[in-house]
Amino acid sequence: MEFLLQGVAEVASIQVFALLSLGLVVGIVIGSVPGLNVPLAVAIALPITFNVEPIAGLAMLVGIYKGGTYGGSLTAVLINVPGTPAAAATAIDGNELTRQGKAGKALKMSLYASVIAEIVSDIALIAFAIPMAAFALRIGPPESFSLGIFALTLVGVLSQGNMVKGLIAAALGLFLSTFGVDPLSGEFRLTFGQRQLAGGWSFIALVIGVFAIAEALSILDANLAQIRQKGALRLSDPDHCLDRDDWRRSLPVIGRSSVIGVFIGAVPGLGSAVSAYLNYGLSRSLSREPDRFGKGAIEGVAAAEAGNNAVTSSTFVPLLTLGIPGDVITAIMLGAFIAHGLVPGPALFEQQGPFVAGFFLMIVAASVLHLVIGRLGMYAFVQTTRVSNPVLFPAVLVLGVTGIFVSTSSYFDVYVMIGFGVMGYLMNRLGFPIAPLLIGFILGPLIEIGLRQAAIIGRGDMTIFLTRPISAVFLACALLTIVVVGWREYTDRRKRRIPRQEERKT
Amino acid sequence: MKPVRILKGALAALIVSTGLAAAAEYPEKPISMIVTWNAGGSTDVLARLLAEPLGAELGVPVAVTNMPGGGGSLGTRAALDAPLDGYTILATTSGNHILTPLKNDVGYRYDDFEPIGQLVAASLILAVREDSPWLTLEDFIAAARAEPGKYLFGAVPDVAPHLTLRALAESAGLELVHLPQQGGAPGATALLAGDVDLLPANAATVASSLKGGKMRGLAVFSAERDPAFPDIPTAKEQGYEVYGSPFVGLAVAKGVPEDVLATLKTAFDKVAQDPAFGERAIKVASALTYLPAEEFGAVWERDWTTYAPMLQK
Repeated sequence: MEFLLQGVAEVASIQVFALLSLGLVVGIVIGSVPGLNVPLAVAIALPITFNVEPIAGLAMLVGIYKGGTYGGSLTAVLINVPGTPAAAATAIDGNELTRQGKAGKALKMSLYASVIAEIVSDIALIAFAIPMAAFALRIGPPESFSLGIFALTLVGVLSQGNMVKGLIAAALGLFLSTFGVDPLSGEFRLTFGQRQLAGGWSFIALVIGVFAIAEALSILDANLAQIRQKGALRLSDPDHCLDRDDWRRSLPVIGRSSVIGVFIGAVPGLGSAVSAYLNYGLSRSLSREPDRFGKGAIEGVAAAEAGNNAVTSSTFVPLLTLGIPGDVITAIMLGAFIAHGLVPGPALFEQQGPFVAGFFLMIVAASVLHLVIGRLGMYAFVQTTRVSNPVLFPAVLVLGVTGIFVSTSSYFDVYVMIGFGVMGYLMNRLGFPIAPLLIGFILGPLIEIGLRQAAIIGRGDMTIFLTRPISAVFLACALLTIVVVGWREYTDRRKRRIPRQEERKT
Repeated sequence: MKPVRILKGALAALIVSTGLAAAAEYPEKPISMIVTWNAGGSTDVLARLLAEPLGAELGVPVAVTNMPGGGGSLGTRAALDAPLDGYTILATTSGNHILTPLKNDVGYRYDDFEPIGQLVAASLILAVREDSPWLTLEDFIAAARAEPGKYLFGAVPDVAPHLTLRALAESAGLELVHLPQQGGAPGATALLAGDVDLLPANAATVASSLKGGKMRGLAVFSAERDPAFPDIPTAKEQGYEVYGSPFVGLAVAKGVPEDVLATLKTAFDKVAQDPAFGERAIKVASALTYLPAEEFGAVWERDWTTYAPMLQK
């Protein structure tokens, strides 16, 4: 506590709060627009941060980061077009709630779950940064592989009732993730001589394609020209408020997802999308009523959003304790720290007390401001429900195309996006779930790189996956999931078969 | 302040482009600076930092355009295919300029470009964990000779740190195992976690770990010691003439008019040598290692001939 008090003088300035708020607003908007992403926003905001106090510059970047990680859920819930890849997990139940006329519930839960998870993450960063860094270093290649396999088995949970189609979609996602430069040898792989494919299929193009374009195509198809509502929905209506039952279902899920998300954030290279899907899948498999999921379960929104935002503070753990940036945004912040004469590492906490304490306080302030700005911003975002689909979707498509073009300045990814849109539309029509496709695509590199690196470390001896304890635990969880899912599927089928047999007898 | 400046620039560009300045003095419209890597990456940050003062010096805005992909070859090709009028310049790096065209058939060579000047040449440092028994390069080489194939090093495949360590291993007759990494930061994590025994890395990647005492530098692969790490001896001092230092600089396609090239060089020289700009660069990116166009061109040729035998098949 005394340690934190040293930082008050650092953050108690209007500049810090103004830039923090600005960062959050920019972040939420950028995050909600499909195609615009947080690294791009950070790169554009960077010149502004040179001209202000270091802590204020960091505040702006933190605001963009936290706001951007959350913002994707708004469009995911309202129009089933996730603004960020991680928010695709939120869309599963969030958009279903919107279809049921309960958009307000989903929006509020995603904000509150995000903020609660952020605060858990803030506390973890402040109190346990050093032990968490030690844990993060124990997640090496074999552990990444086993975690990836575990997360992949959750696809089975997500596609219950339609297991074969779910597994096909996941396999397709894994296959798509193998395009591009081979991560270990650096050779071009499956590029068919197309240099544009060297970086693999663009993840953003994939997400916008299978959601925005596919959604637009099905609207064309169904000729859904309905004007949605005359007025915007009223967030204070009982249908849009969280009741006791919602909280009872969601709070334990938020708690678990926050803790898991915090650990995932502390490991460099995993990220918010892995956390969102892992927590969503885990909550569904641990739920007493797994059938609710996918049909508008409020706890599904809570799991995905808490998992998503819990990484946003713990991602500073490797930066502050080891001097290793986990992603693009923390890499830019490392520069700001070094500029201030700070050397990240255990000594940082002793030698640079006031600045680090100020940084911690600023991060907590960011979470609180996020709640306020997010709640106010909701009034603006619900206006989209007043717009009819034939007007809304062309606008979404324009934003998507522009966003994709801005980050690569090439039409290739725009075509890729349209191609994936057609694929997503066909998958919807034929009853293939989209989520397993994205999970396969996210986990593919994690599993491949983990497997091949571990093989080199173990000199070809695959028992390394069982002799490293954390890896063995993940593999055991994977096995357990397969058994449980298999058992549920088996009993479901029996239940379905028995009535049919009885019908025949009569 | 910022929007006002953009507005001013846009206005100026509008006025100029409507033909009021009929004299057609270069530059008369905004210049596009292609970055061949993603927004927010280290090259991108440096380019964005440079764009503002360079634009002020030239009197027109310089806009950064990210064209990532193909190991940097997509953006490099785009710079080559643009009209030869000097309105498209390339923020070029060892990766897209030397290594990618050597390794893959991308349809261009280093000498399809004219150098404008070098901005940064990073030092490569060979780092080990603080608890490593090796104190000098000789300690490590002796250990690696005694047990061939025992020690692992981490590096992104076929980039400067990897190739430099390969050159060292060849000249010292060592057999090391390569654990390919996905970037500088994952490599540093692998070293600290003990997954690899040594790490050749850009100084910026390991700077905080070295200063914080988590890692130790055995050697730096430059002709002179790095002023930021005066205690780390060069490989040459320890008897191995192995060099490597990835660069970032500016280039334009060959065929741009002489006077345009001269204008660009003069503006770049002025900005790159401005101490205020140097200070800013240290803050967010890295220390500058300015070289004028001619010497920068010599660096290209040196690197091309060094790496060609290792990458060409």
